[in-house]
Amino acid sequence: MAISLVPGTASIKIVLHPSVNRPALDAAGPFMDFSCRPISIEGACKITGDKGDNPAGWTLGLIQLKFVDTDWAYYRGKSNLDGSSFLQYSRPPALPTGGCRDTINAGAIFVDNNPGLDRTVAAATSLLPLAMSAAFSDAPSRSFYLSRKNGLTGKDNFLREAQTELHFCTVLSLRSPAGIFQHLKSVYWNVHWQATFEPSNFANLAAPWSIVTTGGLGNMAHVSQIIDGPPIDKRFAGIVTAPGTPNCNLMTQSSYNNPNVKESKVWANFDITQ
Amino acid sequence: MGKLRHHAIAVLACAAVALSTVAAAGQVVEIEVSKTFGEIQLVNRGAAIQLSSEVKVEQMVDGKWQQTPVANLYLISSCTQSPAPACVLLAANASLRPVPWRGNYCSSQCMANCNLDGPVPPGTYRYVVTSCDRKRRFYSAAFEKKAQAAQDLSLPRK
Repeated sequence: MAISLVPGTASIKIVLHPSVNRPALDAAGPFMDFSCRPISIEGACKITGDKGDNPAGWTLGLIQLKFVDTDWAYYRGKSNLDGSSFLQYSRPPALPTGGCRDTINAGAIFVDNNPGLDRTVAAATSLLPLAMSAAFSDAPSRSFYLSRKNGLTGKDNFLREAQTELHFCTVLSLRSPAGIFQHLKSVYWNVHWQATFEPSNFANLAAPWSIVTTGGLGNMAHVSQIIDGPPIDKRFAGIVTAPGTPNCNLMTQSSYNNPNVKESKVWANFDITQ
Repeated sequence: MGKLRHHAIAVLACAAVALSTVAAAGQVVEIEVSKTFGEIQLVNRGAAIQLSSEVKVEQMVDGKWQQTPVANLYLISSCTQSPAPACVLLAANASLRPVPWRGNYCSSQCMANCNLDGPVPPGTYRYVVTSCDRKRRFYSAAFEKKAQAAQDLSLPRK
């Protein structure tokens, strides 16, 4: 018998459920912060084999994919003729279509932000059956400039509204020494923020702002039921372990450095879907 | 870059009381590590030098220094809307106190836009700063990072 998963031993446990914090002024700089209490996930399984089987290299880890990203900010001047601006961070060309894989090291496959605990790698000396585990926490965040210069009017535009929705799928996966992945369980989770903003003092943006969170699903975090087997979601099933899958942090950083910008000479309504 | 604070030696003398000097002997630029986690001060004991603004972090693993993939950590004295410059000038006898490292991989200094983030694990670390031409490297002494609760990752600031 080759080394294999012990049936019924794979599990994902949500140790800590995420929750979004109310958008808040950053104490360290001119930013409005979207932050959250982290999600903590633990996965586990057992592998077994015959006497003499060498388990070296069998690895249990977690793979995280981001498959929905909504990121935009609307700025407007103090008065109508100061104009307005719309910054779209989550549409091409700022952000390419398709999902991304969420690792600290670009090109990695398993989540890698909890060294020593985010995976179990069996050694030649590991005894079978072998209990394996993988655990990590994550707290996505966004940070928006409080103001920007409108290129059409030359006037400062101030953060008026912003929305972020990040949807992830985290997959518990067992990798053989030959590089074959066996996706065991998965869970969907997301974090949403949306709010309107207005400075109390346009000449001192460090002074308190009016921050009104929008209702409904605008500010929340959610975790799905645990799902058995490999992900079949067409939005990301093809990129789970693909070598060329983009890195989420790098993509997001690039999109925030180079957003799609629309400007108006007046307070305009922009299509947030574009 | 215009906001970098270059303190006079007199100020440095006072600050040094609270700082443990950790730079290796003979270095032109000393990286002093404060007892408060994340705080450092660079002191230039030589001629003016252009430094790469990117600060690297290395961890001692099995007796060897290995680079830790900490992003968004720069020689900036405040968090501003301007991207960090590629290089910063540290004048002769000048010092610089960057915004402290928070101990995280991604949102490591100023708030950043991160999907996967988290605190680096407890262990022995050091900072590495390079000259802008990459010909010289300056190391801090080793320092310890203790365990950091996951809840500390991203708390509201204000």
